[in-house]
Amino acid sequence: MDKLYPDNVINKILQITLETQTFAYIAFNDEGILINQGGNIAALGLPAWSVQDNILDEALFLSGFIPMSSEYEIIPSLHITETKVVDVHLFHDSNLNWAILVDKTDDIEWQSRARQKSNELRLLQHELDLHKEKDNFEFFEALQMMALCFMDNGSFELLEPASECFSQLYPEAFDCSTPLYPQHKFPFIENFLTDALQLWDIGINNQRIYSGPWIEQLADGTETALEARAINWNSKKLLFIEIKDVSYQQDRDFLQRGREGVLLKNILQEEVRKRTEEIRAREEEIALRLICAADTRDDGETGSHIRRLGLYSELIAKHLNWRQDKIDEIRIAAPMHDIGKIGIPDSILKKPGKLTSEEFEIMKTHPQIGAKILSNSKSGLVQMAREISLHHHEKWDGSGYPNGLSGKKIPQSARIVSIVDVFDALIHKRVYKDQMSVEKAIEIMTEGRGTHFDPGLFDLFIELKNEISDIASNFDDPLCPELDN
Amino acid sequence: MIKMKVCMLGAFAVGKTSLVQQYVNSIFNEKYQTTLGVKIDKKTVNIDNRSIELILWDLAGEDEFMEVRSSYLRGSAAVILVADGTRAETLDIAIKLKNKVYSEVGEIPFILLVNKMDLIENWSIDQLTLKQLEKEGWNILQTSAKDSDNVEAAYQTLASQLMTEL
Repeated sequence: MDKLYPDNVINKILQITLETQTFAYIAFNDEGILINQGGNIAALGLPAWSVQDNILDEALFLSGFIPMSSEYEIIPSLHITETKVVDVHLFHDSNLNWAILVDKTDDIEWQSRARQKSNELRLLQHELDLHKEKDNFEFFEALQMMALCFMDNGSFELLEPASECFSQLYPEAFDCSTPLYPQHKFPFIENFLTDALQLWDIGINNQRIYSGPWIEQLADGTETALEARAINWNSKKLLFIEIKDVSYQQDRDFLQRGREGVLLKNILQEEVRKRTEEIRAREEEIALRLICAADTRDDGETGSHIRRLGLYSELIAKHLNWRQDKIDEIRIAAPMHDIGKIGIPDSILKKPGKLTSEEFEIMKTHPQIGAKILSNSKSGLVQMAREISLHHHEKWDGSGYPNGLSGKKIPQSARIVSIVDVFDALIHKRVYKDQMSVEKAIEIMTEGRGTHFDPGLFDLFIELKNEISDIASNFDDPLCPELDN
Repeated sequence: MIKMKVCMLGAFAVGKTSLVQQYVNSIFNEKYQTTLGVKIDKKTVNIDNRSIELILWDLAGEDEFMEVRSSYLRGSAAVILVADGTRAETLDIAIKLKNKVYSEVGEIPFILLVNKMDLIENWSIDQLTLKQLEKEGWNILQTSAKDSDNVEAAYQTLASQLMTEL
């Protein structure tokens, strides 16, 4: 096969390649006699050797490698002159030793420059870090914060120079020569340290707790709000103490406004309650005096009976867990139960003896008369008085009047009044009968349990016997004594 | 000198800070200023020629916005419960706080101050309830931080109680 390129062309290409590149080769025998050389010898700063020169005295980089083994060896980054660095590739071929030198000066230069740059960057980084620390300090200063690290001996070390704002509060922090014990200075910190130590002992990184705000008084009498926080950070036990001037004031103002609102609401509610109580007391008094006046026509009762009726009913309603406004209503409404007697003629009402059946029929109309008097009212109190008036003679078994209602068809208010009305009448003297003991009255009334009286309410009435007896004995004074005469 | 931590506890605006200020600095500020957090004051009391330093922890009042932190009660030798005579609900809060103290710190001495005696005509706290509490062993004083009535006596009483327990 014909050669594409003649030998002289190939040799020229090789020469150009070798001489324009920054590498060279030398071939020498075991005695160091140069046999051949090529490449850019001059560019590498090597001496201008001639063939047959002994090169070992000047090619010091070959020291120790002669005689060469057949193993290929490389000596990297070798300084062969003051300014040149090469990789030296050594190998033995036939009877010649070969050394190929590849210029690495630029690489080394680049590496050096890179190292230089790297170092410069490190220095810059360090400088930046310093700035950063300075920024940190300014950050702490801006936050009015003190950063401390807890030491194993129980003292604290300042992490940053103390902010000026602590100069009055904690002057000890400005003396770098002594360890700090803020827990001795501030009882609040002493208390918080217990929680902080627990946090630090658990050792979960970046976990933190806040003390909540506290107030310290300065020597000049002014007060400063502070807050501490303990943080676990990279095994460091950090404590930050922060002055909370503005945020504390804002939080306090917010809380104060909220609380003043609550106080004002309470005052208004109390005022409404008092006024309502006054109005109710007035209503009660008017009602009682009018009823009292009406009742004197009957059997000479002067109001103490109706007053007690209201109180007994109130007591039972309370134990039935009625709403307070309903309890108040029954206390006033119960005394109106017999208001209808106002429409019964004196000849019947004041008859000393037993009523005839006709007279009794007339007497039995008093619940309806009362209901008429009290009808068409929008007032809850009057409505309750109406139902009591109309139904207080109904009986549990349906044998009562005027409508013969039975069981729970009879309004509860009326069922209560029917019990206490009979009880109070039995234990007090009337023109036509003597008074009875509480025990005797209860004994008689028990016969009517489940027939006359609601059995459940009657049982409750018995349970409340002591309180009922107290009312009976404590409210014996006439409400309208002037009517006695 | 013996030092004792005493916590002031009660609902908001009952006069805890005013009682401390009247006792420690003999001053009274008519305007209500809510306390946020804790303020600590000290006062030395002499009982039978012995001195005791009361470290008074004035804690922010309890309400629906804020609850007393249990950690603040740690190490208390006694507590002063304060109620406002004109606000009956503050007595309920005082009772609740006393129970909290007992469960968190133990059965330490306490005294109940029913404050604002200067407004006694507006009181809504039932005297019967106070009597009942006294029957149950509560030490109760009626005080006025404004007029300084019973203020000194309140702290003195508590300090005496603490002394007897030493």
